[in-house]
Amino acid sequence: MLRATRAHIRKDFTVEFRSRFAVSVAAAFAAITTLSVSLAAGGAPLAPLVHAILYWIIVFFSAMSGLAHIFTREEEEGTSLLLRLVAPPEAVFTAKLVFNCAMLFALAVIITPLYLFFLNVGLPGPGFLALAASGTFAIAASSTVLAAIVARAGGKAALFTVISFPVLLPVLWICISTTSTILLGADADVAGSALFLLAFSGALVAVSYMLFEHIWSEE
Amino acid sequence: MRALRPHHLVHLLMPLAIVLAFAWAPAADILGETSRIIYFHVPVAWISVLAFAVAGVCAVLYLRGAHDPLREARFHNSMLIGSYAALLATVSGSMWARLMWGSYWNWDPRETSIVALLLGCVAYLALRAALETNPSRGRISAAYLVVAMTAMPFFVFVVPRIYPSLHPDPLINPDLKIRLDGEMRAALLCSAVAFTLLYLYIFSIMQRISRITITLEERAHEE
Amino acid sequence: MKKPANILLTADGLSKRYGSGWIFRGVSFNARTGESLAITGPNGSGKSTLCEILAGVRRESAGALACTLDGEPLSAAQRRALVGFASPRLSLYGDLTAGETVSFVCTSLGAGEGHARDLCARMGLERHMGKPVRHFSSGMRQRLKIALALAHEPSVLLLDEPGMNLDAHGKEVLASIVHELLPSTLIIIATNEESEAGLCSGRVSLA
Repeated sequence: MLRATRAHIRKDFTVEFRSRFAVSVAAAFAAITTLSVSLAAGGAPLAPLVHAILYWIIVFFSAMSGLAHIFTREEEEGTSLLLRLVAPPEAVFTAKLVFNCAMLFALAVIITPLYLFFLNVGLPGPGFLALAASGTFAIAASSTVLAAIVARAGGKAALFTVISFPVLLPVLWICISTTSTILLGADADVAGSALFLLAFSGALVAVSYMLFEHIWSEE
Repeated sequence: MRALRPHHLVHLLMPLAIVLAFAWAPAADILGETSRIIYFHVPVAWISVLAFAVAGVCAVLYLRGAHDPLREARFHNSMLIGSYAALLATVSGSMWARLMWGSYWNWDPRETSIVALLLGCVAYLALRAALETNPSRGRISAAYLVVAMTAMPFFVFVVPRIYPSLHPDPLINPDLKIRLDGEMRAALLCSAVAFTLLYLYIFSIMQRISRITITLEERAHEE
Repeated sequence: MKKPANILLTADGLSKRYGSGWIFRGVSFNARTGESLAITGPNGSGKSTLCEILAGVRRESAGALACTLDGEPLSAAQRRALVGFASPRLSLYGDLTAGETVSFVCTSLGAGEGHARDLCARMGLERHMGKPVRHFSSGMRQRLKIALALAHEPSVLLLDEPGMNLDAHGKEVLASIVHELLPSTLIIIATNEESEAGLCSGRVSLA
C-alpha cells in the first residue's frame, strides 16, 4: 500500500510536470491576478482588512484555477479506468492530496512575495508566514475531495468554485480576520487560528477518505 | 381513501397556529404588532435546519446502504424543502430586520449563517444539474452533502467570533428585552409543531411523487 | 509458472441498465480455471461493459456475479486483484514512457517488474521502452496493454477485442500466450473476430 502510494505520487508529479501546461497556466493565473490587483490599486494605501481580503481571495481563486486539474486530467484522458483497475482508491486519493498541497504551496510562494512587494505591505513576521502556510494547506487539503467530485461531474472549473466556496468559507473567514489583525500590528492569536485550520483540514480529510470510494467508483 | 398519518394533523394545527398567532397571543411590549412575525419566521428557520439535518442523515444512510433511487429522492427532497424554508426564513427575517434594526441586511451572525447555508444549497443544486445524466449522481451528490455537513460545526464556531450579534435570543437569554410570556410561548410552540408537521406532510407528498416518477421510468425501461 | 489457482466465476442473470434502457439483460454462464470463454455480440450489445463488470470496475444493475477461489467466495475488490484486463477503453498516460508505465502499474499492483518486461520483449517492445507512450502507434499500445494485463500473472485474464490494431505477428504472439496460459488461467475474450473466438472453448452471445 505504501509502495503503491509512492508510485502514484511519483506518477502524478511526473505526468503533471512533463506536460507543464496546466501547472504553468495555474502559476501564470496566480501571478497575473496578483499583479492586476496591484495595478488596479495603483499604490493607493489600503486598510489592513482590505489587504487581508484581497490576499486570501487571490489565494482562493488561484486554488480554484489549479487544483481540479489533477483529477479532471484522469477523466479527460481516460486514464481513470487504468487507475480503478490497478490501484486501491486510497492510494489514488493520497497521491492527489499530496500533489494539490504541494501545488497550492508553490502558488502561494509566487503570490505572497509579489503581493507584499507590489502592494507595499512590507516584510511580514513569522506569524503571517505560519498563518499563510496553514491556510494554504487547509484550502488545498479540504478541496481535494471536491476536485474529485467536480471531475466526475464533467470537470467544469466554475462548478469547482461554486461547490468549494460554501465549504471553505470558515477557512477564509479565519484567515482574513487573523491576517488583518496581524497587519494592524495587534497581538493576533496565530496559534489558535492555525489550530482551527488544522482541525478543519483534519476533519475534512478524514471524511474525504471515507467518501472517496463512493465518488471514485463507476456505476 | 388513504390511511391517516400523524402528519395529517397539520390540517388542524396550522389553522390553530394562525389563529393563535394573530388573535390570541398578545403583541410584545416594545416590538408591537410586528412581533407576530416571530410565529412564522422562527418555525420556518427551524424546519430549514430540520430539513438539512434529515437530508444529511439520509445521505449517510444512502451511501452506507443500497443505492436505491427512492432513498436518493429522500435526501434530495429534504434538501429542496430546506432550501425553500431557508429562503423564506431569510426573506421574513429581512423584513423584520428592516422594522426592528432599520435596514434589511446587517450581517449579523444568523444572517451570515443563512447566507452560507443558501450558498450551500445553490452549490448542491448546481452539482445536481451538472450530474443530470450521470448514473452515479446519487452517490456523488450524497458525498457532497456529507462534506458540507462536516464543515458545519466549524461555521458554528467561527461566525459569532467574526460578526457581532444583533439577534435577540428570547428563549435562552433572559436579559434581552423581548420576553415571551406564557401565551406567546404557547403560540410559538403550537406554530413550531404545525410547521414541523407541514414539513413532514410536504416531504411525504414529494416522496410519493418521486415513487411514481421512478415507477414510470422503470415501466418505460421494461418496454 | 505459478501454481494454478482454482477459480470459479458464476454469472446469474447479469443485467446492466444505462440511462433509459438496458444494455444487456439476463446474462448467465459459469467458467472455471482452465476454461476459456468467448463473449460475442454485435456492436453496442454491451461486450465491453460486461467485461468491465467482470473486471470489477463497474457494478451490475441486476443479477448476481460470484467468484470463488478454491471454494472461498471473493469480494469485488479481491476479484479485481486477481483479474488482468485489457480493453480499448483503457487509456495509458501519454506522458510516461513505456518503461515508466510498466513500473508504475507493477508497483501499484504490488508485483515485480520482471515478468511484465519479459512480456514486453516478447511483444517486440524492448527497443521502445524509453519512448513516451504518446509516440506509440495504436498497435504498439495494444501490445503494451496486453503485457500490462499479464503483469501480475492474473488468475483471470479478460481481453476485450485483443486483436484490435495488432498485425499478423502480434496476433500470433497473442494466440501462443493464450495457449500457454490456458491450463492455469480462466480466459475470457470479448470479440467479433472468429479467429479469436476460436481460441476459446465456450461461448456467450449477447443479443
